[in-house]
Amino acid sequence: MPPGFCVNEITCWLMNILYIKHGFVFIMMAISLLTIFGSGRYAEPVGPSIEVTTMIQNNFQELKKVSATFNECCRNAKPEKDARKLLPLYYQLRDAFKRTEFIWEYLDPTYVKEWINGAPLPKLDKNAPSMLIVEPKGLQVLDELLFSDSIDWMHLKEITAKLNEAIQLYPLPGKVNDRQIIDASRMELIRLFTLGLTGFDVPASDRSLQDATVVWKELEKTIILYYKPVLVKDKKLAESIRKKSEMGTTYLLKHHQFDEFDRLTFLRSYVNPLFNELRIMQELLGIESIYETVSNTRFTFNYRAGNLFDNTILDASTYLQIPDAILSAKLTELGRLLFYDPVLSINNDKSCASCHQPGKAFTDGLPKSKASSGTDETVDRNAPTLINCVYSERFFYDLRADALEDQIEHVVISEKEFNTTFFEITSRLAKSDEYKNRFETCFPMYPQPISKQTIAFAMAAYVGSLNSFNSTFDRYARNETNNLPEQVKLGFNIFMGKAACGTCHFAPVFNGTVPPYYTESESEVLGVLENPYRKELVLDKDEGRIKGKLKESVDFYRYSFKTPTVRNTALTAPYMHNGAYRTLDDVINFYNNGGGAGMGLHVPHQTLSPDSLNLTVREKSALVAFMVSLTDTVGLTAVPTALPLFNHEPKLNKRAVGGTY
Amino acid sequence: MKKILLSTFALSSMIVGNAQIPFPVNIDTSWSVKTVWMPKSPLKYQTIFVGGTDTVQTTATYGNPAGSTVAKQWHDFIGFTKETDQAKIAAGDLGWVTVNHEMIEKNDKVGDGGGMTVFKLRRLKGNVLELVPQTLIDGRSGKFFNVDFVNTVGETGMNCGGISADNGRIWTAEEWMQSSNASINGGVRDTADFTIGTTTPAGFPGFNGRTIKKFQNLNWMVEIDPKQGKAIRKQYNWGRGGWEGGVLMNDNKTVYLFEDGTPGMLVKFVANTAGDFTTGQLYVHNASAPSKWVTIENNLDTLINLRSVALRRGATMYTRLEWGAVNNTNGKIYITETGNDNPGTAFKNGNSAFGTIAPHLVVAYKNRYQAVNGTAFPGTDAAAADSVRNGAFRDYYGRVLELDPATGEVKTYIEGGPLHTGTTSQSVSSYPSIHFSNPDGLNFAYIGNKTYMVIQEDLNGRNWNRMPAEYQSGSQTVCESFLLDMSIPNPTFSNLVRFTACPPGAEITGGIFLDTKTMLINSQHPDGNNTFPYNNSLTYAISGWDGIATSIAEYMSKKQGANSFSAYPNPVATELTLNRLSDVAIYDMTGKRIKVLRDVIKIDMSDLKSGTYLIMNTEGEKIKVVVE
Repeated sequence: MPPGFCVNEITCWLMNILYIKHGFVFIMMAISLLTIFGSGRYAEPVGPSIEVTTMIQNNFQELKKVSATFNECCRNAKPEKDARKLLPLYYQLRDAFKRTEFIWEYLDPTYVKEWINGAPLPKLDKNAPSMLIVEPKGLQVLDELLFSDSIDWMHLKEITAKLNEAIQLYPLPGKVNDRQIIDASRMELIRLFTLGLTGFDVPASDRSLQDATVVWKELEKTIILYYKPVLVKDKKLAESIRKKSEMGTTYLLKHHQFDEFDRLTFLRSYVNPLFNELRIMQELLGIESIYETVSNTRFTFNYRAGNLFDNTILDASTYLQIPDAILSAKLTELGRLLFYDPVLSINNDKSCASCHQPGKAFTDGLPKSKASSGTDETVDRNAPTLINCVYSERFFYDLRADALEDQIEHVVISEKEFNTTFFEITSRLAKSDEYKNRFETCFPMYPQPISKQTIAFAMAAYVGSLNSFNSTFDRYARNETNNLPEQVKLGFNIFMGKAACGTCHFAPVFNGTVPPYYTESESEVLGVLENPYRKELVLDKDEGRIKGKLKESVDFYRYSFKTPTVRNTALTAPYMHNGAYRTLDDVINFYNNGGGAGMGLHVPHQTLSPDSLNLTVREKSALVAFMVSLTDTVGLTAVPTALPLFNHEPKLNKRAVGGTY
Repeated sequence: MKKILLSTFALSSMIVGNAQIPFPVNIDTSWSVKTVWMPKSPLKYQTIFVGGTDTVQTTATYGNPAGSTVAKQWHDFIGFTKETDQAKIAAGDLGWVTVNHEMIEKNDKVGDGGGMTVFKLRRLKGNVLELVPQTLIDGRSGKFFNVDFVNTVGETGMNCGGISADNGRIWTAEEWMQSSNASINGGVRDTADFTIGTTTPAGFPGFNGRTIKKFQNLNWMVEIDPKQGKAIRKQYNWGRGGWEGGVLMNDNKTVYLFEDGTPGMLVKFVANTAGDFTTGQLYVHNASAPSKWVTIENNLDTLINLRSVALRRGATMYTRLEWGAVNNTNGKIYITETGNDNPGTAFKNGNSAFGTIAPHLVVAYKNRYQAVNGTAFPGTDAAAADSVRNGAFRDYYGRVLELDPATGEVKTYIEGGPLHTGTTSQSVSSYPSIHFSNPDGLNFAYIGNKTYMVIQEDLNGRNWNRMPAEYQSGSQTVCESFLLDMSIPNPTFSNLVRFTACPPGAEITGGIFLDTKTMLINSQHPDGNNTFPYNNSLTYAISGWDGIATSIAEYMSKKQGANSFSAYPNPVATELTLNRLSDVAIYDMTGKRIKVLRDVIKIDMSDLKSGTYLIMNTEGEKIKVVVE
């Protein structure tokens, strides 16, 4: 290389050549032009990002200080008398963390989850070359330890030391910009409502509302710094944002009883409006959106949405593997035809709709679906609803499939289901010119338009389109109506509060996909009974997730099952993975009794608290009323009037739409 | 260079006194132009082998007849065996390529467990590669061949790295250390005890007739015949471990092996006779021993339990060793140590209590301490080593090590980075060009009079700022491959040159130069959301490396003066580099703002449609760029 040349510069130019992205290989080759133009200062400086950065760094410094003090006191604590003395310091530590939460969770969510505020449950290290169990640690474990009946001091000291180390080891965040501050604040509103206020991260103490107050105050302090720049451009908006953030604090200070807190009012009056107005403010101030910042990335969470219950809040297509260029209405329609076509099953008698019937929100009303006609044999588990099932990282009750596209293969090859192969299916479909044409239209670039992959794409496109966010409750949550029965309102508040349903069935889908990014699916060990109507209590024998993925065959996943949505449950009886519970009342009683462990069964690693929820009759029926208010299948249940003709095998043309059973 | 830029930036932001200057959402696009012509890049891309799609020829297995099926996925290591027949070389034949499949999967035709595919390449005019049809001795005919493990040495565990020796011999490494038959049963159906020497070719001298548990027949180095698509032997005398990679030295006697584990071992084997690796002496590295190496006896029980034996004898403990390669210009060995986010008690409990903390980890820990706390580590080296043993070193970036075979000394050659501290920017825009995390694949390239290290990443995670917040959701991990000019003294991550990145979600691995013109590299387990074939594991070639010297000269003669706001290269199908760190906005021809990027020196333009764009900095200076 000639002397005097910057090695970096030259080689960078030469080598930054090949970048495969979403299927495109970019090789920069051809000649073109570069032009330079004169200067002139453009815009006025606005945002307070320097002040916010300083605030954030001070909060981190404070957290490090408080954590060191707590660790020191814990280490020197005399077991018999000091337990109570630790509590004020523990609360200080929580508050200090909560002040950093909005930005720390935004900048480094996996770190916070792993070291600072993750669930108090063991999990598997996803990146380890072999199975590696990660023991729980962080604030939530600390919370459980401090509030247990007899404190395990050894464990407490160890957890505190680890937490302190994780806090001290973490470098101070650097300079954040206005967009990051606004995005982080808006995500924190979602986190606060869906997780914080449900008690999700306070397993034992009663700090949920105190935490929420600290978080909200910090958001208020941050947001208020934007008041002046907004005032210049839109006085009304500036005042509205200021008022809502101030009044939110006031509301939280005034209502501090966890069981009584009116989450629905708080959502409608403060969370949603502020979530929306911050977005408007961002646009008004000319602050870029995340979409203008990041290349080649699709977000599941829709930053452009203005309401948690907006029907576009989650981008369903990001859960699918189907390439953007392929996804179309034609593909969805092809998937719909396949869904109702029994030609997929070995005997031409069973279709997807056999067990996922549109009239029952795509379930079949049976405890377990029939394996084949003419016998009593059933498949292993209850048929779940397909509506809103796309909002999931993993599929099946045991989470064994990574994508909707992978899920279909299990049904195809299962002896109790389609009992066939993709080879058989593709050769059958090739006998229909109509199918062939449809596949060719949907997959013009594919050398084999009818293949395992294209069939999976079509089916996933259809199932992924079965989404509903237009129930009575959704419309009320979006302020589209002011009418909602008091019983439903109470039901929602119980669901998200006292009954703790919302700590696993996360809003707004009310399934196990974790907010605020909604990219990870959870499963739970509940201790479901084999038959709740029998006197003798027997744990259901299905071992769930431990038998799902090879890499997850670990003890704490025994009896663990995916958390399904509670939307449309009015139509999907019977309930639970084994379909053993006939009514929603029975399900609620099961939870109210603390699941299997609460009823006295030995359920190792039960993730549901065995304590009774102490729900009153009124509260229980309110819960049912709320769940019923989440019913919406409008526009999703139309069955095709006819299936494609098989011109090369006419006898198939007699097959019934949806199969014979 | 990066450091200087960052501090310059800090200074200028202090002068401005406020953080951001927003860019107007719309601007007037009437501007005058000045045109600079830029030369072409000589590099070309070609897809060679697509997992789950290309057809491999299989042998008779599990009672099924010989036939064909689709290849396994998860391409990892690439081995290369040069063609030596002069007539065939003259016809363009390059040699045989072997690709590991790092997965275990039940498969009636390919066989259970891991897998490996071999094929032969030839070069046509214009640097285009072509698969050479072959007929093997066992009668199989085709382009891709499955390596038969089942009928030769028994199934393998995940085939990860390996040894691609200069003399063409190939060993594949069985990583994914397993300790029971139950744990392998999901991918290996036959868990009956395995008797060594009952398959063809017959077993291993000295151990034939010995019966071991099935899982104990996994996790060895396995020699294969790349020309005939068959395994030759499991290298029982090299010991059992979570092997990821290795090297064969030019003496054709000495082998070094690298174990992917926390702790991971560094092992040496010296054959009695050059080229015969069935007899020799095995050693494990112990940095604190006078000779640096501890001998291990050739006893099957010892070899099966090598890891615990080695630790009890004081083996030096590494943090997940991956691949290594010999730099033929200085004879030293370079090994990737990919790091571990949370070693926890792995260096402390069980047999690890007897192991030795690697000295370079103590140095790295002390440097980290100083960077985060602003003050030097307050204790002795022994105290720092204790901290490492206790899991206090969150080694989330990893590094490349240098092993001097003459002395047995191991030291850090280049650290991962950068560390974020309170004074830097949390900007998303500079990603991914300045990140070097979790090195995995490693090889050398010799082009002209230059020696380059070729490194591939396999990100262990996204926290600790390894990927910015904005990329945290979904399977968006992007792994890259870098070149490092070995003539740079004391290199840092800012000397790395990124030359390719994989589809999101993929690990990039296997990079190997076939000659001075062409390299092969793998994209492993990409996100399914990429379009075909990039949603599958695939092997691709990058050709044209011999042309880069001319291009440099041409480029330099046309390069824009660097004082005014400028950018290169053009066109910008991929990445545009600015001449200084800036906040910039990109506008389309209608004057609409489409992107805002802060604290950026490189701009990823690959998602922009073809057309003309305006890039403006905070001073209002503009550049017109054409995206082709």
